[in-house]
Amino acid sequence: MSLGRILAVAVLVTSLACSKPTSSPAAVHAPTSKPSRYFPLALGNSWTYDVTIQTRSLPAAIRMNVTDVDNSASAQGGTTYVLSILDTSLAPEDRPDEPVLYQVREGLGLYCVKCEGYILREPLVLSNRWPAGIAEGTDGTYRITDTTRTVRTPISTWNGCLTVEKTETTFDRRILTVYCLDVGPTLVRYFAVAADSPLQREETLVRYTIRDTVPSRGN
Amino acid sequence: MPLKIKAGKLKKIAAGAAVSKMVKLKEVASAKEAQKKEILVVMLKNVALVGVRYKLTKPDGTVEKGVVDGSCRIQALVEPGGQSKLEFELPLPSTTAPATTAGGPSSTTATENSTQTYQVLYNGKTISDDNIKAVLQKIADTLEGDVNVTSGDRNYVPAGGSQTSLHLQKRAADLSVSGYSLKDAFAKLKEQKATIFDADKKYEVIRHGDHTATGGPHIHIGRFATGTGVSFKVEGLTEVSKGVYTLDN
Repeated sequence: MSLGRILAVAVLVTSLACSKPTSSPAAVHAPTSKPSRYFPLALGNSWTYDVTIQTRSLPAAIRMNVTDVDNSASAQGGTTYVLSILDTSLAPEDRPDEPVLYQVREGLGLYCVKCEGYILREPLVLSNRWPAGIAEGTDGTYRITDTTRTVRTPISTWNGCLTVEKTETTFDRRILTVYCLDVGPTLVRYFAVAADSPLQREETLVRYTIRDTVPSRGN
Repeated sequence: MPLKIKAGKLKKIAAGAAVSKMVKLKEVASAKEAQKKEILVVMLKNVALVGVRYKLTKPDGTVEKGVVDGSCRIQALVEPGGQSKLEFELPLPSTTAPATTAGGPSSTTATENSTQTYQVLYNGKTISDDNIKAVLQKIADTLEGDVNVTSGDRNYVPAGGSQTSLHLQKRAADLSVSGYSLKDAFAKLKEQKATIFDADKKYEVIRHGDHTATGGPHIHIGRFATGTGVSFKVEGLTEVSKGVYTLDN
């Protein structure tokens, strides 16, 4: 990377970081109760993540796009979005061969149609807990562990973000996802279930495009 | 200059394997030449029919006997119209299976006889869901081709891998259909969806093309736990659509 590009990135990060005031650290309620603001789903929205895996050094990325709307999957009302996820850290034969379907259920949360459970569930308050979905086993649980998280990524710093921890004992993994307002998931970290287990994998937002809710701020 | 023929009958000289025969003069215009048909015989209730003797009784009562060859095919002359009867001489009396074959319009390959059964080849893959298994058999029967299963239940999630897959929930299969390109099989599934899929359940059918981001081109069929209908989607039909799922209903 050239010096000019490094400087340009540094200036961008500094200016974006300064434009966002930090929310109150004592707050237990998220700034808004609408889960769809923390994962803005609209046709054309996209997110790209750099992937860091502790056991290997190969560069990898995840590209997640909202590529269609499938209202035939909306049995209980609400729009169902088709998310195409291409994870280059996985061998082609290990990649899922089907899209993820998320449904916006007003007053309830963001519902994962195939998981049969919510990925974000109202109320968005500290310690709120809900089952991960019938399909994911009865032991899977989501829990809001932070509503005031500040996240720094190579493209920006966001404040007042939600941290949601998902525990999957079946697959021995704990996943921390940080959702930021009008952006979406900005940081995802994978650990083994044991509390003191080391970080296994990290996905960091490096580019995104949001339509409808806010103008695009992606590269 | 008009041609005058004074005779009651004419001899019709057939080409190839067809038999020459006399026809009445007034029937010349409508006389059709019997076409050699090829009848594909695959399996009969899990009994391989290669080497089995058969007896074909044609609409006019003539009988032709032979043995099913190594390619599971029977070569026979079948007149247009009428019904033919195809019988196999199996070692067990209870497995003798008379069946009829329609002598339809001329074609080089006949697949219309009911003696053909098509199967789902699981290739060592496990599919736990009885409904998906039933759907696969209906695909084989409706499309008249063996269904080759390339993936079924999965219980492994790579680090970072999604848990949203219907394979993980043991309600999905990856497949191809013998005798069909993926494109044609997918089109047939759409065309015959009312026959193949249960109306009170919800399915997702995905065609992964040559540019797929997955392990290779295939058709994926998954069943949702709730809902109704069939959602058809495509991925990787072009380089641009690699890893991009869109509806194709």
